[in-house]
Amino acid sequence: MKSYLKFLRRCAAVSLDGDWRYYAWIGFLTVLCVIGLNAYAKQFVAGLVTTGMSDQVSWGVYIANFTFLVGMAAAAVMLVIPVYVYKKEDLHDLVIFGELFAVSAILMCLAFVTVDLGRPDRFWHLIPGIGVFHFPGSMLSWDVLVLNGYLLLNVYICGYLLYCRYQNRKPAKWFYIPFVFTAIVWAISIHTVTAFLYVGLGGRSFWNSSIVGPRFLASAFTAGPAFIILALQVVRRATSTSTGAGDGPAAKPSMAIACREASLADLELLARSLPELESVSNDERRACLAGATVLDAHPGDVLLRQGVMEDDAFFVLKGRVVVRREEAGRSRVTRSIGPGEQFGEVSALAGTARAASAIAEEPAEVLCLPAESLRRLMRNPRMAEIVHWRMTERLMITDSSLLILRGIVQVSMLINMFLLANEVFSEFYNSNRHVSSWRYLFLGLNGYHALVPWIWTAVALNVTAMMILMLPLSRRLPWLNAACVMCIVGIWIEKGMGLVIPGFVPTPLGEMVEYLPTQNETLICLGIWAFGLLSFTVFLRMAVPILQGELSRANEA
Amino acid sequence: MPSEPTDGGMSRRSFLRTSTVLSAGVAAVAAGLAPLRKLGEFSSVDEFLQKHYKELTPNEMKAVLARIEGEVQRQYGIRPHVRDYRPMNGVEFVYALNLTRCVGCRKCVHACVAENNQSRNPEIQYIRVLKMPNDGTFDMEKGDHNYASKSVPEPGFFYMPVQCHQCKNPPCVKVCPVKATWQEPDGITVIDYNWCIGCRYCEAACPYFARRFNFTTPSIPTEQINTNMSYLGNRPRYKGVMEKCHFCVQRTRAGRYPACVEVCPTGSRKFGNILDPDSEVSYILKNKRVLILKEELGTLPRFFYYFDV
Amino acid sequence: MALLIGAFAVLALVFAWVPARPGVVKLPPIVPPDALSIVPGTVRISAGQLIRSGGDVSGMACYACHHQDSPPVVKFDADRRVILPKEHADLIISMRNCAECHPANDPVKLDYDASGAPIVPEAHQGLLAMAHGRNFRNENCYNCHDRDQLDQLHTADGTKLKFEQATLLCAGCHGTTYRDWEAGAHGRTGGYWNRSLGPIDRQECTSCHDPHAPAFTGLIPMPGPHPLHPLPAGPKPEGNSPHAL
Repeated sequence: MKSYLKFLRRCAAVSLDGDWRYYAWIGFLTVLCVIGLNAYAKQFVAGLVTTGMSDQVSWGVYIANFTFLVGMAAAAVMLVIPVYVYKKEDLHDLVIFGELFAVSAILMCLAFVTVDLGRPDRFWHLIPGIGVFHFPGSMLSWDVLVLNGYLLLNVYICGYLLYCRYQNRKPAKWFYIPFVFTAIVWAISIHTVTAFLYVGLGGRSFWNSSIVGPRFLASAFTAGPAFIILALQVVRRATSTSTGAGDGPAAKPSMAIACREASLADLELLARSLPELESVSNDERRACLAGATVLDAHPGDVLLRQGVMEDDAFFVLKGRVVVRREEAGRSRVTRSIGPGEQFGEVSALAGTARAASAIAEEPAEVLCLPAESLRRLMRNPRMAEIVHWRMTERLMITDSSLLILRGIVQVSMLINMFLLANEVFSEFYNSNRHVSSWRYLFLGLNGYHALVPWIWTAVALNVTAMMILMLPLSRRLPWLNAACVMCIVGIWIEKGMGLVIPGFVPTPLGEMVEYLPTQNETLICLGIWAFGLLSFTVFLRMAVPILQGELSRANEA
Repeated sequence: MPSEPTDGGMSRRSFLRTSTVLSAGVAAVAAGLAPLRKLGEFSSVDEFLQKHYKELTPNEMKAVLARIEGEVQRQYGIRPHVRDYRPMNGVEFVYALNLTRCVGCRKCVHACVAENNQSRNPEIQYIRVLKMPNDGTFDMEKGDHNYASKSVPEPGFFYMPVQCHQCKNPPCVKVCPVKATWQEPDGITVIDYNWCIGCRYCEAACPYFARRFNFTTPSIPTEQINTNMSYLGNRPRYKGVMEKCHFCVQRTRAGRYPACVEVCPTGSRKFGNILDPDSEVSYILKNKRVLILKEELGTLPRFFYYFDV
Repeated sequence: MALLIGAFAVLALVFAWVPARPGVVKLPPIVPPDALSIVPGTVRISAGQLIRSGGDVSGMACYACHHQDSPPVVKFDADRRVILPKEHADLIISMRNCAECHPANDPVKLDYDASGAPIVPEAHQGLLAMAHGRNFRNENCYNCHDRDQLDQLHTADGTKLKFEQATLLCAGCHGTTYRDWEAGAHGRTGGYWNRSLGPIDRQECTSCHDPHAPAFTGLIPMPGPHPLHPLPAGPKPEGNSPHAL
């Protein structure tokens, strides 16, 4: 328990640490949050009359944002499926980013619902057992359950995985795999339940259609991964420097590093920090020592060079080694390796060139094993397990992982546009009266046309994004990023204002009353978005050092 | 990259820096919450902890009614009589409205406002009268809600007032997440104003635009307050809760006609107990052609429009 | 760093000084309390009611002016309309559309005498027209009034009826309406729907309909709904035009 508190304390400390860009970003978001809080205080005192909502249009931009963000939270799971179902291991660490994003998105959803309530002080009426909870009759009660459950699920999974990484311990399968698979199903359910909120209202023909649920999922799985693509590049940028600038240990020009033959005593030392080695018998160990050496490195010594073809694997005995990867003119530290951990084993086992360089950060003793010895060691099942596990712990936000996400966005946007075409046909082909809301949205009705420019902008953005994504052009990052931004904005409009408001116009009695958010309402929305981005930034600020190995139990001073 | 050691400790300089920023931030937050100064008397502990209407014991209900009388007196300067009217046995209320006779004078709208202590500013009216063109259409989108003719009925139009239909299969009851609205045995769908959380899901669900929300604290001129109040009916509502037509529970559960029925100058509104075969509503449903609004939605309203022959 | 502290300090000052402004809520015009009261032409005090309630019926003493043996002669004008003597002017107050002379929003103030009958202003004297039935079908006074007994009415088949039984007279021609009225489906109801708790308050035909001009004239409608937020500027088409009162 004490160690857990220490872990939390260190996380809190690191979240307050950063360069001027970090402080500027955090400061800017905090200012927006405080402005939003002030706007909400005004709304709390005066009532929802400070918004643009009325009896005719009784849900507005709060619920619009809520609907959009539930989708984003659900889409975090799209990273989980490739990793856990299709075993795409190089996305492994990115799963945590997706889930942290889900946590931030759910926090924003809860905030938007709270500011939309007329009597938030009566929230305890919703608590089952204490209040009166209308389950399973009301879809809103379902939503309360699934959203909070999803939040707890993701907080638990992220917390557990990060804490295990901090402790440099392999997470126990039973403590997280079932939850991960539950999260996959749960993510689909949160967005389906939110869709059912609308679909279940028979009196609103704009919403009462079975295509709304699939459309929700398709648009969510477009915008969510698009946001993650952008967020990952921001993380990659923020944790990297351009090649040549000094960050971390500077690589000394290559000199021969002091090296000696490895002995059983070295393996004994390794076993202290790598308990799985205990299960290997002394005979086996002797066999593995053939060709093994121990390097005595000073800070700055380069143990491994990116791009070189070598087939040695390394285990750190003492000290710390830092792994740096160069990509597209920028270099970043991907991992910080301590005693008992390995590096270089991927290229050793696969026979490929070194993916990154390894440089000693502190005076270090490193065991160098030829590939054959490593394979011999891995005949022991426990060794094989731990080596394989550690291989997946790569915080490599490679371009290929981004392209996997691109594939998801591409397919989802295609499905989204196809479903829209279905809706447009079925509403406009015949002339029944249920098309009134659709007419209002796309063409204007009786002289009221406030939403028309919005929806056509959204359609243009979505179609353009879809076309860019279908072309090989979008394999290049600037085009991919442009398409992602277009997806997010287009879907925010179409799912937010383009879904919630037309359901109310015209009213069930045929009255036309339009809706325009007030300044106070907009400030509250900005405040909540700022809060969400702030929480996501802070989570990343804590998670990245843990995943890189910089923040770990081994370097608790 | 962190520019400080991540060993859990902090240098004194960074501690001072961080704490200054944090206290400035706290000051900004505190100032940001300044508007809450104007909150005034918000909610007493009793009111906050009050249980759902259906869970209140008779003694608790007595205490609640006394508290509400005190609240109204403090707010409006006049002490009302708030009672908890219970439904009668063997009674199911049904409403019938004669579309041949309605002239669109809107006296029902304002009689309701006066009887049920509805907010004048912002204006809440449970009844909405539609002026429909008499040229072979029943499309409500062609209706005019805001007519201000010099004299009604205007030739070439008919008038259709709409209010809560007290449906047998109410969509609003189904969607309320806290069961703040429910159907009573005598058919009236009621709201517990002290339980509603103001999510407005019921307002989205209602196909008849029957429900109203208090976007701010309602304001009623003291001299126009109706002091004969009921817990589920016409006691003054709070900011942030829903309200709607409740067939004047304070009148109907005491055996009287609702205010809209009494004031209608042309006698277009009929009300009664459908379980009584001699009531006027039984006669109407047996002998007249009735129109049910949006019957295809399956809400089974207890509100029937009829015509004279 | 200093920038951040400065920003927070400015924010704090701004919040402390700028007051909270609630949303703009438009004030609807106050509806005068007597606007809901009965407008003449709907519920009126009929002759039968007056008699039944024991009010002052001195104004209805027919033989104070007419002779028993010589029934008054009904005169018609060139358009075959009854020429009503001006002594009977109080019969026809409610048959015109008041808005023809009275502007809207200018409340009509009527004076009533002790028995509840309206006092006919001079300007209303001389407004003479009967309006019971289309195409002057029913404009002969003796269709309903008994020529020989001026204080009685008679049905089409000669049955004599007192003024208090006027409803039966109406029923002779308006049978379907009378059938509905008996069941309670026609005409104003007030009082108690639950007869065991109190009486229902029903009206006779002539309490709402003036027998000489039974069709209601128009009413001035009460104000319509006011929107919560001010409406955006710009012309809107008819039919759904919000009317800013």
